[in-house]
Amino acid sequence: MGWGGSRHGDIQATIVIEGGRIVSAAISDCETRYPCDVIERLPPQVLMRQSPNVDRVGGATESADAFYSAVYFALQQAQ
Amino acid sequence: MSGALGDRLTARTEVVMGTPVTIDVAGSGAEAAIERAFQWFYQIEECCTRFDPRSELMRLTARAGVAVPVSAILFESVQFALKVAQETGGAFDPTVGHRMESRGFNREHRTGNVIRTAIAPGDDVSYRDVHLDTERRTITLLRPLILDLGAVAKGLAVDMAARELEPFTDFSINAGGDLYLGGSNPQGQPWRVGIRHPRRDRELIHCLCVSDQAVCTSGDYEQGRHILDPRTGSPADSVASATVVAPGAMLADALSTAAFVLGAAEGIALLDRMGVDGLIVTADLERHETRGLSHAE
Repeated sequence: MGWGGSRHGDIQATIVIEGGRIVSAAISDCETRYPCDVIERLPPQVLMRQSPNVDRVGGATESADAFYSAVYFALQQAQ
Repeated sequence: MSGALGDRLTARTEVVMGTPVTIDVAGSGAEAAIERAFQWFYQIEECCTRFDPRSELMRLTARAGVAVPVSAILFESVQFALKVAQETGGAFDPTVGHRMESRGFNREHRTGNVIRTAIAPGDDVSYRDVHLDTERRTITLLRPLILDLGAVAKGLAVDMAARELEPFTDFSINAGGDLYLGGSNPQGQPWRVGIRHPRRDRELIHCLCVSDQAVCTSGDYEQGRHILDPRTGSPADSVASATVVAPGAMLADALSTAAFVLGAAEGIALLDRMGVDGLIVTADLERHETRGLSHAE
């Protein structure tokens, strides 16, 4: 579990790891000043991006937001 | 050093240049090289950001009409951006900075501070208003303007980071979806890279195999319609996603932006002319690709 902050507020993400792989990613607490459904598409991306068929996923530049920070710090804690 | 399965992997993620950057290196003992790789991101961001009035780029902006001696990083970035501008007839143009700023792309990602630069460039400023002196390494802005080196600077940072990691052979750099893949994946095969579908969050629109190449994508789906057609000043809207595979990220990033602006037919013609491969997905989700684009099974 990790917290991430941005200028829009804070987000807590819960990441479940089994056998070295992320099996679920979720926003467990959302204290942003915009509705949390704005970023609800992000957790499934965390799973998609470790798809067994590809090593990496490329795409248009992502902005640094609280969710990514929260996932990052959750993973740090899991190490 | 082999990247065979079972080797140790060294990985680190930091948020820099407004995006999460992850570096993975096969093998041990890579910590110092990874540190140097990240330092390039910080150093190039500090030099080339238009979101900090104290950056070298913005100090240059404040001195229009004067031949200003600049660092190698700034000179190389601007020189490269101007070459791509010439090659694309202005479809890529680093002088869009003020238009970006006035359209609301004016917020610094770390502090949230809004930038308003006190100059009034004409609507018709272009890359032709920037003069370089290679011998003296000076840049002269012939008219008041703001340079936006966003794509070029990030690409340069990825390329410099890749150079630091070269001795390790097998590594990957992911700068917010812009990738450089060195050597092989952990299974000893070329890296398999999925390209995000521009309209369906959980899907990939393409999968390719690469080694020692950069894969960069410009799209309208992450930060809204943020790519302007410098020739008209309006958002480019015929393309949803343009991906370029090239030997370096600076080239791949700039050409993906240019292809996004040019549209499918002219964009593919540009990539063919430049000898790189790519995939352009239009707003109607039509796929257009170069003949040599790799298809992973």
